Amino acid sequence: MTGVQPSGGTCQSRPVGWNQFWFAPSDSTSLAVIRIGCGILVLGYLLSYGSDAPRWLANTASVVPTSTVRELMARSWAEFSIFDYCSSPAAVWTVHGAALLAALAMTLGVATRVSTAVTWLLLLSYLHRVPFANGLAEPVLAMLLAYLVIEPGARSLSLDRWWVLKRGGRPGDPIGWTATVATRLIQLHLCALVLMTVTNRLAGEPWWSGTAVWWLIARTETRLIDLTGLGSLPQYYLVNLWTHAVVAIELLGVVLLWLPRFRPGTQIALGVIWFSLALLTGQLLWLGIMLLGLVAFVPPTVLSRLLGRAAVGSGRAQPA
Amino acid sequence: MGERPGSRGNEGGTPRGDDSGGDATAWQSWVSLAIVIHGICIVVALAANFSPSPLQSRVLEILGPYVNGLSFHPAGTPFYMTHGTFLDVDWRLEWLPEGSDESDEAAWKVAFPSSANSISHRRQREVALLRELAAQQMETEAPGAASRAALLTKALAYDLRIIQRLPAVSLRLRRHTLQSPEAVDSPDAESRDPDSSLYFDVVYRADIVVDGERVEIIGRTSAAEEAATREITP
Repeated sequence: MTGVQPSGGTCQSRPVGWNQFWFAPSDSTSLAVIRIGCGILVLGYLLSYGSDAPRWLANTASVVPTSTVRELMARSWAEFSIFDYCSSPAAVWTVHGAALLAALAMTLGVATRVSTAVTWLLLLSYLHRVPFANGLAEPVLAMLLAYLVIEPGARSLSLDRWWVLKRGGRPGDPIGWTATVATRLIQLHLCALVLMTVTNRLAGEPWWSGTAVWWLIARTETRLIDLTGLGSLPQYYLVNLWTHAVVAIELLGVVLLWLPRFRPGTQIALGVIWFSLALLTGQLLWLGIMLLGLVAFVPPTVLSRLLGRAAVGSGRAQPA
Repeated sequence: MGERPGSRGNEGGTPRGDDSGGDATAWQSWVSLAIVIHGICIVVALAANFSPSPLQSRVLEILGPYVNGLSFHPAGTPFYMTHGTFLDVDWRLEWLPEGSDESDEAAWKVAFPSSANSISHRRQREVALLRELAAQQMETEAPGAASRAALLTKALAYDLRIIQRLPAVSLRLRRHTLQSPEAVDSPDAESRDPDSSLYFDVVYRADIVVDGERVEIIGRTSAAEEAATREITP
């Protein structure tokens, strides 16, 4: 991001590096994969309400009524939730059903841009309805969906594309600058989130003293595997190593993800570390979303190869 | 950053593809401005996630409609997972059925977390809610803290008595203290068992009074003051 185009004018006054970084057209296959993954995770999130949806989401007769949320938090007008206006179970089920349909449509790529936007807006309604019940996964899921609205990758891996081809039409070019903008925003936001996470970790003594992983292992009611056998020496050294590895890999990962030579190894290391933390905390939805965020760093040509199809625009555009 | 986008035949990053027909460069100027503003909002929101300064809080108030409305501000979400503090443990909200002896531990029923399945996201939702309830019980010094803490407890009591129609007469918030590494090899069998009564504290207890559709709670004990003094002792 150093050079400046010589001539004047609106575009020319911006650094060349800036233009290349944000606006050089790129393939939207990565975004299509992220969209499908996000759709599945949103469906999982919505289905986790089970038959209890009205009990959590109705505005009055619920675990935390809207009036209590308003008294406990200074919510701005923008923290809107459609559930604040749903007093009957039927109304809650109607909105819940619409959200499920929108998420399904987004996953399959039906009216992709519209269904992605609707899914995002409805998800925000869930998040704003009971903000106290939001965990680690929800803010990251909302972030990914927000950027997918810019470019959901509708022109690859979607029923929209399949339908156009079936009718003998010519599907649009999956390469465009909106794909680059969306991918870059996901990449940068993910790195900022990881940096925030690791600095927050380092604000606590256990992440310095190597005991943090033990305090996760010791939470018998949330962990998925029992590793209390690591409590005695010399196995306890592994707990220390594990704790230090989480901090080191996350700190280094924020930088190394941007260096092509180290990127695949960094993605694997981050994936392994987050998987290990999910085993200790039960945060599987969070794990899925973080792994999807890492997909934004995989070049579309690699993804196309993995998906067993010819790369679209191979060699032309890879925002990474 | 690997192969530069647009490095083949598109050196200036001139748009191509889905916006080839329009005046894309003008669009890009506006998009660039939006990206910069958005980036500043995100940096402020994320930097203020943990223990925000008064300045950060003030800036967040101004940016609130954007960063909170679109859920870009995690608002204290414990992404760090544990700091080994009083709050970073498992919590249970339990209720006592009518006619039961409160000293009988077996009589208390678990209201939250309701799901025994640790994989379910529903459980994570309930765990987050209990953490918030515990945090509110601990806040004793802030103005109006007691009444705020009572609000959430009252809502949960209403859920038990009116919505679920359970014959609950009391509820309590129980903290599952974490076992230290030394306790794993302790000669004392009770210390070795992480689920023994040794590892449970009652942080808050209240009686539920129902009058028609109205539910009130009468707090009986609060370990909040004691809790505030225990920082790094999970």
